[in-house]
Amino acid sequence: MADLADVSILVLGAGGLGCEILKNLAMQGIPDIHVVDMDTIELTNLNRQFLFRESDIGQSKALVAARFINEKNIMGLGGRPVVVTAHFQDLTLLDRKFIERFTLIVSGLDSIEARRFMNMQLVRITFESRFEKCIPFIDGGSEGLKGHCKTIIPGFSACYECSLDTLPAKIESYPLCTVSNNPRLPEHVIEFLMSVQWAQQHPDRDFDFDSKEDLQWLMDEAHARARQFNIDTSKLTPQFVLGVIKNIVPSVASTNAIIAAQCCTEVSKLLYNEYDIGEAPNFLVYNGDDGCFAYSFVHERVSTCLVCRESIQ
Amino acid sequence: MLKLRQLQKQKQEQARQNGTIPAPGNAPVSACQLRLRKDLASLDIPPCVSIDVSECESNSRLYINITPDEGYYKCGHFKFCATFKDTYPIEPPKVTLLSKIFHPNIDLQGNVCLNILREDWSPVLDVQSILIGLLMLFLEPNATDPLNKVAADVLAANPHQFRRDVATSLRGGQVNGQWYDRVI
Repeated sequence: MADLADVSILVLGAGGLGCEILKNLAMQGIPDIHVVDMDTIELTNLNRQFLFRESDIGQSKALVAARFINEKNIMGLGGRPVVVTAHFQDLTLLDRKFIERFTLIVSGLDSIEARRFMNMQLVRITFESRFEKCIPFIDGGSEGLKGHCKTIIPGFSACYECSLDTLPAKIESYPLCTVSNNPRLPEHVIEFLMSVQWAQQHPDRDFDFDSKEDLQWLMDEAHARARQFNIDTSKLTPQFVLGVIKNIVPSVASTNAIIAAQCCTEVSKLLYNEYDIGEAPNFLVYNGDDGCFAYSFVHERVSTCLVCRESIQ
Repeated sequence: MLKLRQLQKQKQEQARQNGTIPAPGNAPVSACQLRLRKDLASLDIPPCVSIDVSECESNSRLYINITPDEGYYKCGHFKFCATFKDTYPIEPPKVTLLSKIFHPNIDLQGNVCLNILREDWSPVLDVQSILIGLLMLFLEPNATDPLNKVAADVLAANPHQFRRDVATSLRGGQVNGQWYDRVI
């Protein structure tokens, strides 16, 4: 068991999935856990991100989550206390040396770019070390009532980039002709303002989602345009408008719990040698939207994958 | 993690025996740039299209020059700018025409109404698909779902008039009170 006491795991994200993953790993007794998150706590997080309290609003998610778990004084594997170390920063700025020291990486992120970044780093670590190092990457994802868990053994099984073509198109968008000439929905109005009118009126800069003035511009113009096309303006509340431009999907606590549980099960299987690398179904999709559905399958490596194909020199 | 470590050893052993060393097939660039390089490497460009890649590495921008060899817009020179974000190929690039054109599916600001650039985009599509899509716009302008309503109305009501109007606009003339860029 000496081996297990040396395990250290890096958790990416301390949000909905991250809280669940951190809790699970701590209760499993992983002695050395690190967590990275660049976000701060908001009121709307509190219904599902249970490591945070109202008094924590505005503080770093990573720091507060680490403090919460450390205060529990949990005894971990090999008699070592469970210690969570927080990193309040952008994970794409993490040092390669820092990443290399972990046994496993588990992610609960909301961004495809961050996943692609980490996937690429880990594949390169495997290849550049000539398979001396290999850090499994377990990627959890949840959106509304749906989720996935991908177990990536860099250099051995399909990497994140191999599965890129299976991702759904990111945003629901509307034909440009409809939004400019025949808008029928409040969404069409907002889409037109964001993709056409903003650039015409402000050619010098991008829309700033955090600027009160920009949001006010959007609200005013949206109402004016909706009236022009006889579209019901009662739906155009600030919450609705923000929801459309940021493409907000409500988060569901139970989806997070299911996905995080699967991620941590994968961690245990890897640690206790119960995982059949290359043979075991490595991807799981969960859909609670349409009945109660979960399916796992083997996603094979893509021989032309831009990140993990091996060029023989 | 014993199992994985054993596999790693096997792999290293294999490499030693074969005298081959698996090496990373890529330099440290972003995944978006990698995909763009792959797109460009597999391009099959028709003679009426040329691509300027000088800003591809520095700010993920391609310039696509099209000179249609048939149709209403025959012999006009059209330069499009395609800007790729880090999210490519999850999100499509933003494509705009840099000159002013009289066309039912391209507005006077150069915004292009092409289904695969918006609602029908999918990560399996690539630069080649965009080229084909843009070429189609010149060969078969579509009046049923217009972006430039004036142009679409002319095309639907009187294709001969539309042909004359396009010819005028390509020479830098005036159509319905609008001056167009000379592209011929």
